[in-house]
Amino acid sequence: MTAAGPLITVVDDDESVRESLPDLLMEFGYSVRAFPSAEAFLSSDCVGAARCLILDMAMPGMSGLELQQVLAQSGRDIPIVFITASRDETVRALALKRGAVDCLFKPFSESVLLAALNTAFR
Amino acid sequence: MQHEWNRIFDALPVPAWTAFADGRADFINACWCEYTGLGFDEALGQGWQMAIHPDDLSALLAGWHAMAAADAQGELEVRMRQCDGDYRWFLLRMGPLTDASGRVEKWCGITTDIDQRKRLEQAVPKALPDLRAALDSMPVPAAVTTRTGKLLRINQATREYFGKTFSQLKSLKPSDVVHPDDLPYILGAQSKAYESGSTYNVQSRHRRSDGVYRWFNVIGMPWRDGDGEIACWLHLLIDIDDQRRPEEALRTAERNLHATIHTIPALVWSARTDGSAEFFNQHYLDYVGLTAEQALGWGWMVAVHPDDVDNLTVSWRLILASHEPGEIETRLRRCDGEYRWFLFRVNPLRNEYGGIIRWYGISIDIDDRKRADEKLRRSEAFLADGQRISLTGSFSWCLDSDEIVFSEELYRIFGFAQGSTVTLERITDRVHPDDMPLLTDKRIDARTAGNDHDYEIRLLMPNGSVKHVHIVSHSTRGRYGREYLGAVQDVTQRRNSEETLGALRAELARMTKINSLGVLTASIAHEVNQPLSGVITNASTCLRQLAADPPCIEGAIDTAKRTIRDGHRAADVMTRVRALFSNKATVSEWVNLNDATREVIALSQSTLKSSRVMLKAELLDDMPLVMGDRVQLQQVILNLLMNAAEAMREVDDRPRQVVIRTERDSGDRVRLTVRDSGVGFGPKGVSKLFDTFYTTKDGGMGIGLSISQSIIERHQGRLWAAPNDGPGVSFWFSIPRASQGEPATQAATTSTTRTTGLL
Repeated sequence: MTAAGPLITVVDDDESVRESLPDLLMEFGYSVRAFPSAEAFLSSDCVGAARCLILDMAMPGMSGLELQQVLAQSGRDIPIVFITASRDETVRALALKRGAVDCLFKPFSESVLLAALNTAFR
Repeated sequence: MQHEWNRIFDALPVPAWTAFADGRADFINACWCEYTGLGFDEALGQGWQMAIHPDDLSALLAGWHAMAAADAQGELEVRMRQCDGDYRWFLLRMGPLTDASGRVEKWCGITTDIDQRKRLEQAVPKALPDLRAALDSMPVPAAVTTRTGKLLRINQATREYFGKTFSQLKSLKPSDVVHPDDLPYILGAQSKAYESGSTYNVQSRHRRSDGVYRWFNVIGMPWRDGDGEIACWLHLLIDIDDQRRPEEALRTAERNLHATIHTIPALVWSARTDGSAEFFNQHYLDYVGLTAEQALGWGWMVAVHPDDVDNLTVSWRLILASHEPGEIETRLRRCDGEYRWFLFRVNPLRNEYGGIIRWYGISIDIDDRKRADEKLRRSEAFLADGQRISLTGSFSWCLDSDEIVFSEELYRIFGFAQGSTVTLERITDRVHPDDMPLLTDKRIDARTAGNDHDYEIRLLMPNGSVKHVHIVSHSTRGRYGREYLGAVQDVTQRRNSEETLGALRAELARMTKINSLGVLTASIAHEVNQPLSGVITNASTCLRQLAADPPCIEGAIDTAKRTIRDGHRAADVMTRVRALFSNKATVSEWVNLNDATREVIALSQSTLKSSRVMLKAELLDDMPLVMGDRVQLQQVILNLLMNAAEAMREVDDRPRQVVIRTERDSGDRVRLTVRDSGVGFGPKGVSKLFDTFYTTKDGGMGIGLSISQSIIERHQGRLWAAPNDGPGVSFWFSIPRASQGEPATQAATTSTTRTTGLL
């Protein structure tokens, strides 16, 4: 799932998301890699290459927020767009406070997603 | 008793009387009055003396006084005047009448006509010169013997009476013609007379030619020659059988009456017109332990229970005043000091003018009956109270006659007037129409099979209300044929309570479901939003692929397929939610507990995940099916899972882990356990855990476990809770597995599931 555009990594334990989101992003010219967990992402070779991280909030094992902290602590300043199926404004506020580009509640529209990516790549 | 005496006296065919020791007659019998021509009242007192020959009266009174002084019976010969003015000789036998204590109350006398004998006695000496001629002319049996009693001659009357010739009679022994009982007396009298040379006079029975013994007055007189020496003896037999028989009867009657009065197993007494006692039978005296002297008059009152004295006194006086028979119940003290209930029954004795002479009473021991009556009364009262309190009536139904008997309480239950006649038709009218087929079946069974019955029906009361009654009856064979005995309990209140409880339980269950729905809202939204997100993203991709130049048809098809897949996934979530939270009626079906558990896990996993709970499912291979309500069982599982998650909310020092396990249990049962690692509960919490409205959760309603327990109990199971060896607690329920021959067990599934990726 590579294209000429900048690399975006999708980390979500939901297979449906891992299948559908990369296809859509590639329609817009992005290169996309998908991982089922934070641990899988961290152990990949994309950590340094990714220009943007679309990250599920709640996952088994390391959660999205925990991965955000790990990346921050390691000095990796990757723009992060959180996605979550749970409409929890408190968690959203926490994520934004920690520097996330945005936090989208599933299901989200194409335009909302593109707007968040535009912000991330600005 | 006096009345009985007088009746006997009046029946005697001989003149008889009773009188006091001073000569005043208080009773003259009819025969006496008829003979003398004197009236009853005329003869009473001293009037009777008018009938006695003036020459004999002084001797009679003197002789009587002598007897009275000695209290001994005796005989006197007096002449009594007939109604036509002629006098005849009578033998007057008289003796004292004593009461129970032996005191002489009065005298009684019987007179026997001895005029013929008396005249013979006077006539024979004159006929001595021609003894043979005199003998033959005598109209009574007569015989002449030697000085030692050897038979010399008999007259015609003798031959005719004995039916023997002289020779035949001479060859007979005395015992052949004299009654064995009388033989010693007559032989003794004769022997004494032969020795002394004086006349003898004895009464004895002699056998007639037909074998019948008749009483005779046998008089023996010595026949002296010119020198005064005894030449022979003349024996005269004067038939007194007709007189003697009533005397015998009287004596027998007297003996029988005496024996009867003193042996009758009742307390017999008599009283004067003022109510004071004048006689008690021996049984009475023995019973109260008093002598006659102590008891007579009013002495007997000492044996009356102190509490009954007033009532007895008043009642006794009322009876005396009424001049009518009466009854009194009172307690008498037995000689051993024990009081027992007696019925005093008393009748007045009246003279011919209706005036009361005295009272005769009998006292009957009714203590046992009285106690039995009291026991029965108390027993019936207890039964009535018991039936009233328990709302239970009883009945009997005779199948042959259809006679139906209701208890008081059953009349009330059926709303029938107390004591009114109960018929099958009336019962039928009262039974709820919907229950008539059941009642009809029971009646048919009763008449054909005769089984015992235990069932419930409803009664439709006149005011439109409905009563639920529980009927238990037993077939038996009674005095009047086969019958049913049974009890009918009004269980309306219980049924209404059960219905109310059922409604309350359903409402609580509904509230629990609503509560669970609230808890799961986020989880449900998450489970729906996940596939919806896929749907929208795939749809966007598909549009872009179709809008490309050239269109990417193949890619569009793939994304469209994923769109459909995710749409179904969302629909599946909503189907499960609707199934779990629907209000459909309770059903009984074969349930695969593993499948039910998986569906619950699927719905709740997001909630668990957000609570950072690790769920581990250990579901047994070949898990037997159970019979039950799938949704209700899932509500229990969901409740246990949510409780487990809640119990670990504050846990940060260890993994928040829940294990849900299915397994076989002993006794053909299956078990489902939910084990958490939460904060647990104290010892006090265990006992209250299943109480309704008991909760340890902030904002909890305290109904979840109570409802869960009632659901499991309706599945013939039980819900337990116990602290773990380590942190947390375990909840588990055990319910019966399906029986053999029922649907096969589910496909094996044993897996370890984390809070992610199960759907």
